[in-house]
Amino acid sequence: MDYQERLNRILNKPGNRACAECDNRNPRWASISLGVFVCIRCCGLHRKLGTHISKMKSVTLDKWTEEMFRIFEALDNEIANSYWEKKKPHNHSKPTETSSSHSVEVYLRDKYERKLWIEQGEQDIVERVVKGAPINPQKQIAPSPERNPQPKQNHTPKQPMQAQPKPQPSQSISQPQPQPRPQVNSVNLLDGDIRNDPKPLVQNPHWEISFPPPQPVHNPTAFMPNPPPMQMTTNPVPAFPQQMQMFPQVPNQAEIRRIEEEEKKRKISQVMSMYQNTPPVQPHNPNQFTPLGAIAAQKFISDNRNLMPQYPPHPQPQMQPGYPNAYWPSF
Amino acid sequence: MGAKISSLFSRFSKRKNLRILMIGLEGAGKTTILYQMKLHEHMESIPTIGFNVETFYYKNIAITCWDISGGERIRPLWHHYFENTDGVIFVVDSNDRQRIEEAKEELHRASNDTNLENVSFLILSNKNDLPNAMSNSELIDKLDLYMIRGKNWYIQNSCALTGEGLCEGFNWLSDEILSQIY
Repeated sequence: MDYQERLNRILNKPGNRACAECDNRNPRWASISLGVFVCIRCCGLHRKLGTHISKMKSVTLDKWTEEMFRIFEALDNEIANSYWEKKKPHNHSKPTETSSSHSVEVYLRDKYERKLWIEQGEQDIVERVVKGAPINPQKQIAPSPERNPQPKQNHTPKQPMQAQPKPQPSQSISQPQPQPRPQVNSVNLLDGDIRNDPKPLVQNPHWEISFPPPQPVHNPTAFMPNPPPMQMTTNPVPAFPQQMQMFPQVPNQAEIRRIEEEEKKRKISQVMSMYQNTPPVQPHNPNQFTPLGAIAAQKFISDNRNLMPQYPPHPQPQMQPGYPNAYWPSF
Repeated sequence: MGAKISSLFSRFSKRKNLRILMIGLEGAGKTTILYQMKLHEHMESIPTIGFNVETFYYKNIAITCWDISGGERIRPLWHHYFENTDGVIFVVDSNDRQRIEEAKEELHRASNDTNLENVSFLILSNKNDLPNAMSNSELIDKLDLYMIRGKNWYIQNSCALTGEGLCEGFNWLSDEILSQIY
């Protein structure tokens, strides 16, 4: 079998139709240390990982050696991915043709540099081929090569809930590397701890000072049999004005009579003042505002109008164009 | 006297153009170095098929840099670019110990080419930031640099991702070329 025919047979394998990383069609670059075919963009990113991780060879620009043929005649992207992504969570989406090269690079570093998703203790798939060891997934390839291992690893993060004590410890011992991930997931947001925990989720140290507990507009202390003591020491929100009580105290009968009499006297004196020149003597009411000085001045002016000098009327100010009338003082 | 003055005048007035060839095994970082020198930033590059050419100014010298693909089947075509070349940059992946022998063969094949007589060689040991990178003395030993006869060479550490060491390398190469021309 000649060189090109061998190469074409490898490239036409159904597993090698798409790039191992981004599902781009017709991958023409092979990583001989990882056993995958990738597209030209992913090849650039594979090179970025360094040759100690991925050694890239081109199908067209490089001469293939016998060893490379041997590796890729035994492997294809599906078999290799079933090794590299064996433990990959089901919800972890693979990059696509359109995803940014940075996201692909992160994915590649997770997959090949940190080896997050391989079965710990399993021999490297390329090494197995080189040494002639059997490749396990090849038996599974007939029905559905990549879906078989996936349902198993779907359950791995849920296992603590399903209470399977036996497989769990053996797995956790055999693979210390992927351990951090489930731990991150099992921060247990759904557990009852948080509800019972007296501490709030987010603790703001200034909360008690800067934001007093919300108070309704009406003073709740009027209704409460035992009003809670005010804890606020700095800048308490002023309570509703005290003089506007909902239920003022009912005065007794003598008081009512006295108030009525005072009112009567005041009215009589008002009526009588209409027949007198003297200004009415108004009882001093501290609650009512009486601008005594202004009243006196007005009275003085009206009394002595003939004595006051007569000035010509004040000239009206010219309206400036565009100046709003509302802001102009009216004289 | 007049010739001297005119040569001095031409030395200051002539715009210097250098044609520099960048070769090396594939994946050594040639394209990344080219765009690091051109744009002063890291660009995601894809494998070069054929070549990239960029002109950039370094110390008022226009450097036309040819970055030739390093694929195994392209390497026999390198010698077509050797004519009229002022300087050669040979990029080595200092982290790749397995292919250093291959790099050595290509370097000596290029340095023995008749078109590259009296052309200075700058050897950039790229990817020097990686922990397993080879030192300069180790590279000189493994690349048999002392076997290069009849031309100046210089080895410079570099990291194309950050641009470290590239200016020093280009500095040496441009000084070397200009001192030969004038």
